[in-house]
Amino acid sequence: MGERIGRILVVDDEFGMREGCRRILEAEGHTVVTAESGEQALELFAAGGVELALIDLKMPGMSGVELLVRLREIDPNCVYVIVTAYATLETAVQATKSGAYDYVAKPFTPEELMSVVNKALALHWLRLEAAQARVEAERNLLLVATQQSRTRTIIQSMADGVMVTNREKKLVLCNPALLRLLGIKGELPELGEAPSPGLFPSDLLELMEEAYAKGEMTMVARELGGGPPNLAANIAIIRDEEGEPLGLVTVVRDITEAKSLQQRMSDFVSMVAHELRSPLGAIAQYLDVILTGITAEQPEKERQILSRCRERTRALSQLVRDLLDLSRMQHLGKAERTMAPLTLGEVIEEAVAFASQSAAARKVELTVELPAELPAVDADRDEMVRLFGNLVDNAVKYNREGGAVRVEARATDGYVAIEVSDTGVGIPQGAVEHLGEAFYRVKTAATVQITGTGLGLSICKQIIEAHNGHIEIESEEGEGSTFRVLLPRSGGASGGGD
Amino acid sequence: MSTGRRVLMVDDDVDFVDAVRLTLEAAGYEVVSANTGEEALALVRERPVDVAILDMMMEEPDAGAMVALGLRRRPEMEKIPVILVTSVTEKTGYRVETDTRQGRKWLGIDVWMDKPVDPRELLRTIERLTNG
Repeated sequence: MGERIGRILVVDDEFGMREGCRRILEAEGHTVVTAESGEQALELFAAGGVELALIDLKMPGMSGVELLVRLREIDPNCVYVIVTAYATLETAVQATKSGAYDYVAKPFTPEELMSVVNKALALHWLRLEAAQARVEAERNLLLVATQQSRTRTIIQSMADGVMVTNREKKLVLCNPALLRLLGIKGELPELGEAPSPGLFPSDLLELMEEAYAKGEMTMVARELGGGPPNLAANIAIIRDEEGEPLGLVTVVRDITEAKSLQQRMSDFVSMVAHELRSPLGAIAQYLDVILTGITAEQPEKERQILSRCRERTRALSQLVRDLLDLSRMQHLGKAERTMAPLTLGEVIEEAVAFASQSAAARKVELTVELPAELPAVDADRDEMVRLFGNLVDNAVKYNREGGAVRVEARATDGYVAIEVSDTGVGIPQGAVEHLGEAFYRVKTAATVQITGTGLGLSICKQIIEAHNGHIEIESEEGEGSTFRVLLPRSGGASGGGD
Repeated sequence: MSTGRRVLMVDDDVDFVDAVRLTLEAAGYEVVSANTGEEALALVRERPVDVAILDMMMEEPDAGAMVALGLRRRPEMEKIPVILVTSVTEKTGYRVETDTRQGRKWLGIDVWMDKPVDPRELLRTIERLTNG
């Protein structure tokens, strides 16, 4: 310890004393600065780096004790040693009370001085090390605490359920999501106890047993039965440094959404398959009739069959087109639509003109009533043509011969309302709510002859939703239906939009 | 060359009904048709038929089977040949286990045929069932 080098300040009004000390200390390798007064000492001390100060007690001007007090205020880690010519017990006590570590009495031998200086420097370094260690420990402690609290917060706020069980299969941790997913309320599982079969589903406990038994596996995963909610569990084995199992982390996830998506997907695919298969079956059946030669003698009938086949293939093409449109619309973001202020009058006229031919064929009277001034809506023009085209087309198709279709538009509070009314077959009670579901078609004796893809209203609904609008349907079976579309007016004037 | 036999054809696809009607009429059968199960049952109440060809999936996914059971409840049609036609998707989507001897017996169906139906095979099947 004594080998270590220090930077030492010697304060004494006697030149001989100052230089004597300097010689002794510098011979030992220490760095020495000297001051002849308290004032000069303070100045030198302020430059910093002094580890030990040897202070003469009796100096003219500022006394040694006064200097000691002021220096300690500046640097409490520096070690102070008093040098005094009056080596009495009182002065020693007085000096240590003022914060000096030790004292040395004049006159002293170089060995006496070195002994005190070495002890004092050793103390200084000890103090420094202790202080450093304390700072480090505090920092580590803070780090651990922050880490722990962060981990705890993450686990507590996770949507997945988490539970940890130890080697003894006792519960060590479980988060609120786990309790929520497993439907545990009221009586809560006790930490330090095995997860009780009364609270935890048996298949989960079995899965955990399996993981405990097959200690060499890293992960087991399975779907838990008995939903909803449909749950899946992943179990990972925690190991120590030697690879020995310490316990299990069990994560329970809610897969209800994924399952229902899967179901909807498979329903949709089988509906599409059915919708394609029916017309294909009819076409194939017709072609078989011709190929078998059944109608060989009836060219008129054959022509009729072929034109029906042509019509059915057209409907199939329309179905494929509708499917592609529907899929495109579902993936289309707002940004990809060309939204611009649009006056619907012109679009409605276009939709009605398009349906006029089929209306004439069915002797359905088409009327349009538009106000002189119709407020604009923010809309994609192509989609608006599609929307009103579909609605007018439906109104004509599901009409009776000699019936009427009336299209009306008017401004309402924050919205533009467009009504398409018909005198058609109407929609049976209970069927209205299904309208707009993909492939839903009202099947009654009145509609059996009408061809359609069952996607028209789905597409309408998609378009209306994309434009923040609503659709209202009123209908009386055998009397007719009214489809009312409400689209928010341009310029954010919409009052009740959601 | 009339066979003197009346066939009931039930399918919600009017073109399919038309195609089968052409096939059967050319072979000398009289055809009565309906587009829904309900309509079909109303039709046979007026006058029974000798053979029934039913589409499985109409207004309900099992409408064809319901018609078959309805026919069997009437003594005069308890033993007539009943042919159920479906598309393969319907069959796999709707209780494929009924397409077994036991299932057919339980539903009151003699033959289960896939759409489209080969006209010659349809005629042969009807021949076999009515003469058997």
